Amino acid sequence: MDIFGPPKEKRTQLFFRDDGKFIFRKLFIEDTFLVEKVSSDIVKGWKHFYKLQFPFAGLKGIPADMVTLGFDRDIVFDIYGLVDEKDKPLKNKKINENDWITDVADGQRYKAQNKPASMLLLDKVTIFLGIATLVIVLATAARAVWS
Amino acid sequence: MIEEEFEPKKKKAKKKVVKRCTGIVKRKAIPIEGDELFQPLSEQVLLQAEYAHPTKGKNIREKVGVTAQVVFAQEATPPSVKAMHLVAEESKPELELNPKSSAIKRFFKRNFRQYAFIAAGLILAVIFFFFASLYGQQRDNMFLAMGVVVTLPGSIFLIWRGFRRPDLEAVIVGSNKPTTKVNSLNIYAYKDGDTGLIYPKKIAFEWIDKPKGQPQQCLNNNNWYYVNVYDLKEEVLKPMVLPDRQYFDPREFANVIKMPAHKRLFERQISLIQKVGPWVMVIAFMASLFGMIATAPTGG
Repeated sequence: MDIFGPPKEKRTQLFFRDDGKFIFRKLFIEDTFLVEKVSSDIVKGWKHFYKLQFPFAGLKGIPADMVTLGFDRDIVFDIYGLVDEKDKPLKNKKINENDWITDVADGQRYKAQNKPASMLLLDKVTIFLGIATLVIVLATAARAVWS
Repeated sequence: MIEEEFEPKKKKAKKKVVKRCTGIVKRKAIPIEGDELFQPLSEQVLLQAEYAHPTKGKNIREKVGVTAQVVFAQEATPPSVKAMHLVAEESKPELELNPKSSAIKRFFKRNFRQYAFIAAGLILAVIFFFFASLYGQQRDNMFLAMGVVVTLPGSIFLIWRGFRRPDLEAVIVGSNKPTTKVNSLNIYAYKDGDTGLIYPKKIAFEWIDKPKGQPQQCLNNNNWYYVNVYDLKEEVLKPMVLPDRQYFDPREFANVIKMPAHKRLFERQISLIQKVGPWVMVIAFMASLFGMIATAPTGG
């Protein structure tokens, strides 16, 4: 959880597993993709289409949300054909030959180039230790003044 | 505040339109179901009207369904949300609105984390006053001094964090949560009669008398449900079968999203100060801690 940053966007995915089970789960939306993370590392990604969101009123233990469908064998699960074919990756081409995929990769590449340098973890540790040291020094000084 | 944002708005505009609508109703004959002029409302229009008028949605759909369809049959123009507002306003005197019976509900996820932050901040503020009062009596107590210094900014930070704009999470306009027993998870879409386009309608847990297919386990509550998809051509629910062919693996696609090799090229270079900084601060922290202990007044 990023304490100081803005809240991250999430959406619910109804995920059908290969073993015949399903789960409603909250996934982060990053760069228009629903992403599954393991310790802040993206391990799976699905394209998030507005057109493929189904209203879901919820059930006990399952919160209401706009829900998209997903499964493990494709990045788009469009059972009704709601999204135009030109907006989806072509199914007769491999992932490295597909224009739709290469467009996504290009976008991400440019984004990585343009991203401004952010604060590193080392900087955060330094600041935290600096504040802690300052607190101790202030406490010592306060005691010296008031005693 | 959240509810206000999504309340139906602009009452003045509604009043103006009501007069026009009244005129239409008085002027023309009313065809009933079965007449040539009668046109049923499209599903999209009903959904739009429900979204615009959540408290009257059920009335539009159930109680004044006939009236609404009659008005639209008289109108030569294509139906719109504005027109549905007219119908809702026109039918108002005849109806007894009961919000509890409405089929439309909005579910707001309460962000309990925000309340937890505020509560923790208030508790810490109380602890601060406790420490401060004790420290006023025992000025040479280092523990109390630390408590005063730490609890005050801590409580301020937690309360500030609690009052930050919460994440709305979910605002849903849809059917009620099922109150009866359910055995199926059904996925619905609908085809708009005017445009011929297909739109997602809802995902709902429902009861089906004779379900087909194999039940699947929902890992959220460990119950088993039949998963069905509404077939728009045959207008029946059919068991959902996932496509077998593998197209683009989400695991492979994760690499496209991350572009790890490319990001490594543009990775930020760490300066020597940044590398050494944490260690310097660790030494400073330990030194200040040592200084605090060394200068603490001894007992007796």
